[in-house]
Amino acid sequence: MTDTRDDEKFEEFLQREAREINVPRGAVPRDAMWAAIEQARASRRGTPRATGRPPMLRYAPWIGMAATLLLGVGLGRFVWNGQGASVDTGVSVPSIATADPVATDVAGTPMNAGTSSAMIAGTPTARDARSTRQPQPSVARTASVATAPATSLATDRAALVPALARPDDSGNQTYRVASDQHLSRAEALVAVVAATSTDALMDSLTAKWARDILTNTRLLLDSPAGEDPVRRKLLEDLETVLVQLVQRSGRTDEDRAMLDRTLQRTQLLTRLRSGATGT
Amino acid sequence: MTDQQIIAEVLRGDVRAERVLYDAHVDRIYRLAYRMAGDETLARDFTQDTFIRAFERLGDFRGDSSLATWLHSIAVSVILNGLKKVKRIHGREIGGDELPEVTITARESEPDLKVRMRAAIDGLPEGYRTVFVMHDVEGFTHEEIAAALGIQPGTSKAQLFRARAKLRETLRDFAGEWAS
Repeated sequence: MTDTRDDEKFEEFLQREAREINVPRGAVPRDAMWAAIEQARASRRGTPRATGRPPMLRYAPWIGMAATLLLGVGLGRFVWNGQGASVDTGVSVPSIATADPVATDVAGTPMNAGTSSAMIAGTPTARDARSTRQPQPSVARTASVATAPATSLATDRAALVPALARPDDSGNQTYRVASDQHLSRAEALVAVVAATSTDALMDSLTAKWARDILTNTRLLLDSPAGEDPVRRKLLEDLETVLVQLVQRSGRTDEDRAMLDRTLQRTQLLTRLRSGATGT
Repeated sequence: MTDQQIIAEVLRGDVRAERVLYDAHVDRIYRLAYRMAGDETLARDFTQDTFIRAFERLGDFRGDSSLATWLHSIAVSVILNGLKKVKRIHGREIGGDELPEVTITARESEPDLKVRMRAAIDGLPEGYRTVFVMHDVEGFTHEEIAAALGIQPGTSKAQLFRARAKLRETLRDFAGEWAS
């Protein structure tokens, strides 16, 4: 009887104490999560949602100012080794300002999967930038590079979904094209992060951008079509960095130091630029 | 509206019905995610991923279980897979399983107990931990747990029993808190 009574008392103690672990703070952030869900779903469909504006757009004036500042600084430092203007996509705003996954180009035209091949074939991307790579990436070059298909995170997803649904040879080819595009976007983000210092606004912007790329990265990792072990390693290392970017928004210099160590240890930027997927 | 009516409206593209479905279930899923992850960002990510997948697969829902159970099964899968990745990432970066900071509540508990309790729960095998958190912390019934995890209710009970036994052993230093 004593043992039974002790068992009951232990269960009561356990439930009482365990319910004080990991207690959710404050109210459930319903609206914020719903906005993120809508954005993600709209991106996968490749069309902007008509309902509501993501909270991020409330800060559009500040984002625009930050983007203009980045562009101005970058233009003063930008060197393209004689290959002329970086990207001619009609998109004139650096990618950070347009990293909203409810993606349209600056003119407001939704980008669709049909443009992806054209973009691969004809539009300079981060990979083209490597042919004129500077020892340290300039913000402007990075911003310009990131501008090109940077508004097409929605296009990435639109290309990814059919690719991942076809695990045959044509699907593998399509998968490779889609993942190459995705890695190019990721390179742009990582290059921006590597080139900029810790700043609350930039952290917030890059966290938002990173969150979107993280969704696609996980999609690729979870796909049965993405079973190449070497490429998988690159995506996993990319995921590591993206998670740190998402989680460090608004946090400390220590988090930035950890992120820098990760970038250095994984040589992620170099691997993304070279297209190499070794360890 | 019944679950079936809401689902039918969602499948017809009614955005308001989507929000109704979401509002009806998000709190419990978010709390479960938070309890399992111990981190707000992760909890939000897991919750969002759960609903994104749920809306994508809603056309496949056959009504064999309740909508809530179906959503919870997706949530548990998302959470467990996500935590595995996080653990892998943190293990690589920190060189071990560093515990996230403990969430302090208004009720005063001995700090050492809280830390030890946290470590003890985190140290449970995945299946035991999931059942324990769902049942003893979040109040899911064994039938709900079984449906969410794809196991039998008896298995859920057995895993809970073993989880409690392991916790009791791990926390024996604090036996004075409950022993007669």
